[in-house]
Amino acid sequence: MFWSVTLNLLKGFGNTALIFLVTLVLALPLGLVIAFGSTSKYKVLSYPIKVIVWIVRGTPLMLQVIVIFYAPGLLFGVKGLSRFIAVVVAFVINYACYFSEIYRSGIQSVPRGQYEAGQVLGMKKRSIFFRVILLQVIKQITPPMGNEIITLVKDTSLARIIMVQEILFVAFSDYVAKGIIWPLFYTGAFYLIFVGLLTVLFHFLEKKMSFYKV
Amino acid sequence: MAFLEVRDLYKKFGKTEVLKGISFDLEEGEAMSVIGSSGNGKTTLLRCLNYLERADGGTVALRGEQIFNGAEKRKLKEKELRERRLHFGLVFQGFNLFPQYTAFQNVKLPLSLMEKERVKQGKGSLLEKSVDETAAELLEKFGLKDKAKNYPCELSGGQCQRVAIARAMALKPDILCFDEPTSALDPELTGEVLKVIRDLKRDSGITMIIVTHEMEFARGISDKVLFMAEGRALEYGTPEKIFAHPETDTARQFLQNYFDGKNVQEKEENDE
Repeated sequence: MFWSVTLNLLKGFGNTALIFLVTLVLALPLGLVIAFGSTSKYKVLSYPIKVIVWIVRGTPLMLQVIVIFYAPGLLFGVKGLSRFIAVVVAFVINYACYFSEIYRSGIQSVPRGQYEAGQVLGMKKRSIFFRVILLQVIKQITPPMGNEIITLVKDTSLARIIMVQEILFVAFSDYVAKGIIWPLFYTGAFYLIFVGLLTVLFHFLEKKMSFYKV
Repeated sequence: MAFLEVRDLYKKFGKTEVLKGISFDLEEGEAMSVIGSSGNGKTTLLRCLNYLERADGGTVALRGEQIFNGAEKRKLKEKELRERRLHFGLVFQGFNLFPQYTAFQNVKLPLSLMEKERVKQGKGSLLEKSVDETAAELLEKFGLKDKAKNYPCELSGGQCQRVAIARAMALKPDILCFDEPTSALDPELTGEVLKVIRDLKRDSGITMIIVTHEMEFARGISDKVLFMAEGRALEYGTPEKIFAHPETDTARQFLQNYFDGKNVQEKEENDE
């Protein structure tokens, strides 16, 4: 019993991990683009982006998943996205917006003087960014990024609302519905181990960059 | 024709006129101090000379060659801007060392980037030795030989400042500017800093512009003193002339307040 449950939950966890990975891989770069957009000096660009970020951060992720999955069919009568794609689209947009704010604060935390020092030393803009600014930004954003990424692990469980077979969905439909409750609690162990690994990874990264202080 | 000729430098931020036409001449190897109360445009003057701000009017010429013309409104290409900037070095008030690099790397990074670019353009090296040796020698010259591998966070304020000076000097600027070299440091370090700058002047003979609040230092080191008030160069001349025989009431008042304040301070210290 225990092993068959473990294997079955592991299959569900495969989907959990897939949502996590795809979201991360797409939202990390998209967030950077949004960060540059929202800090742009062109207001036609920055204002709409700020409104979008406000909406995305101001409404529940669950609602966003539901809207992206059901709205095309219900409102326009067209065939919408598949369940998995709908989840990924909602997650990528949502997390990109959160990441964009982390990037923005990280970029703005580097003092003006660092750019100016590079300038008076005759450095090119590119060199200033890549040789001077970038590492300082990465150091600055690693702790909040770690936080956000750990939240993402657990947010994947929201996919259940549109019947994507992630680990919690599997536990409910295969066991709880049949009156077996313990596999539901067992799912917690999967999350804990995954988050534990991420915690160790981020701790390592922070340590790696602690060779200097600002 | 003077080494550096600044004429009618004018700068405003929004509606506030910060520089209302600054003019002065400086000869090669001379040190000029810029004095005056805070908020009178001293730092802006340095920033304009270093192209960190673009002045709205006036001209700057170095060895007779015009390197800035406020009437020229076109946007400069990054390359032009960088070339012109290299005429001036600047030691910032807060030093602005790169925190993730050691003292050695701080001196080496801009130098090696410049070298690489020169070689790529076929211009040939400016250095007699390798980049590494040049950087190491500079650090040694500023008494930082055993601090080369330390990060800025591990250095004292005075040491950070010497790294900043070495980093600026590595690029062989024509004129080295200091923005209030003593104000970010503990008062007891003032003497050390002033000695470093004095030695620098004696040993390298580099032309210097120093914005400072230390009047004794300004008097001791400078060949010229520029007194600024409300964005104007109110008085300009030898330290003797400015300190002993100020022409304007504003300058007289400023100096009197300064030295009165100093005396009161010293008296209090003696009483303790």
